[in-house]
Amino acid sequence: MINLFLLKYKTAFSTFLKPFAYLSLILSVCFYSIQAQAFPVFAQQAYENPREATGRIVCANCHLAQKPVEIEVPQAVLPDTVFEAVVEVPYDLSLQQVTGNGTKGPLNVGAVVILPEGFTLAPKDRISSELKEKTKGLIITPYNEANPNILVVGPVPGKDHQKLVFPVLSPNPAENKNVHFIKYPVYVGANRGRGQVNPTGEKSNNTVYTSPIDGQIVKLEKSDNVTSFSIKSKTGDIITVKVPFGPDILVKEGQTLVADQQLTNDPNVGGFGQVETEIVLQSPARVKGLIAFFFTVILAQILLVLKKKQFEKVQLAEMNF
Amino acid sequence: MGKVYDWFEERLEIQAIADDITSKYVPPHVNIFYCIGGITFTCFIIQVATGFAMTFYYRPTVAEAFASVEYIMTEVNYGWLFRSMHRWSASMMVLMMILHVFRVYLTGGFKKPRELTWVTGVTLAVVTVSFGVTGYSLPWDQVGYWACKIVTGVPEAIPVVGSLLVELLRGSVSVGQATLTRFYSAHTFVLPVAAAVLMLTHFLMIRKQGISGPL
Repeated sequence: MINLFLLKYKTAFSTFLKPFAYLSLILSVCFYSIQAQAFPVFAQQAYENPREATGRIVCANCHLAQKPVEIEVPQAVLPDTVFEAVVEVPYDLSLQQVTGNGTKGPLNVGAVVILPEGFTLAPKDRISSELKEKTKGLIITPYNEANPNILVVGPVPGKDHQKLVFPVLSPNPAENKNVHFIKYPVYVGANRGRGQVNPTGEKSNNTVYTSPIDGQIVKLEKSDNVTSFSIKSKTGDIITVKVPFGPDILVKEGQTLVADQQLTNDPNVGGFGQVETEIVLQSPARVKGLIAFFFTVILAQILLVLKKKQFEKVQLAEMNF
Repeated sequence: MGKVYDWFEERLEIQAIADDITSKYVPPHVNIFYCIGGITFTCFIIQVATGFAMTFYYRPTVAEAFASVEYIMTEVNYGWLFRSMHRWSASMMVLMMILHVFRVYLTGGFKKPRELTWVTGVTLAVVTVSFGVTGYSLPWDQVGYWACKIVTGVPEAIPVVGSLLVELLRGSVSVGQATLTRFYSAHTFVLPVAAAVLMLTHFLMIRKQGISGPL
């Protein structure tokens, strides 16, 4: 699983500006290690489009556990209109996760909303004060310059943001020839809690560590932020497994192990989920046309009934008994 | 006008046809529910008209079907209107047909001497549903593809001839281009012809026997 991820990551990396990516990676690690939060920025650096050809959203590459998430958008929107896309990231608020330095802390949430082409983040001056209140504290940004229709938010404290409200501006087909009045898909991925894999492919401290081999723990040593397990295999080789502080250690020095035996518990309480929904970009002219059509149908039916009543009267008058 | 009428009257005796039509009176027990069969027929006419229009642009290949439907919905003048009408009218036709079956059943319209009208009606129902199933898959989108896969796989449950039937429906062991071609052919040729013939017999029999009597 992780190897697969590594492979994918490496290929993605080599195709981009490697030195730049590494530099920004180091910078962001420095920056984020202070905050000890989730890393949507890593996905932004490594993937041009967060939705893979298989439909999987790339967050799932690092956030391995699966948890539910919901999206709420209007059934239909008119062109050039601001509307809300609400992403719900439900989880038990009493839960605590391990943070970057191994202590316990509250969970953060984050989300990515892949809107149809042409839909963008609503500009500040178009957002109503009511909507401004709802989106308070959320810094929503486009995924990258090439994809202004993909919006990213987070990490933000989960206890204040069970609902992430995205203010979205619908496009106008009259101005943008690439958009049409049609039903579009909307893809959403949202996450709570920290990831299990770092962008380098290494495990984070928010996951389970296992023994790579059959053997015995000959030394268990704690030094700054890391617990080192020296495991002696049956052939006499000594393999060292380094576990950052965070997960609880389940084994003792001198204990014999089988391959894949857990050295630690799985501290992860969060997880990632993705859903999709549909939204119609509706033409006001078509709605008016439909109402007009219904009106003519009702009118025609009323007139037919009236005519029949009139004809019945004539029949009655002409009737000879 | 008179001359044209005389010309036709001389050859075809159209006065007899006109007299036949105008001499039929609606019996008093006939209420609004007797209209539902006619509404079903109206839906069918809409389906023929809009469906015919869409054959101008639709391409029945797995590579182009979805793109051509997208083209109809976005680029073709009023293509969205034609396809939407086709879509809605299809659902409406099935709904009206079911209501019509209820009406006939509840008023006893299937009883002697109208058994054959009922039989053609049931056959028409099968044809209508087949229209729905084949049409649903034509855009070759996700729902259409999977619906096609599931529906064509149903006969597999029949012992002995099951897999043969599945292959007959699909044109190969798996769902692919052959299946789409078959569905398109059925939807635009086989089923319309079958429906037309059945409708003709259905209507001629009603014409001959008249509307069923009161309860």
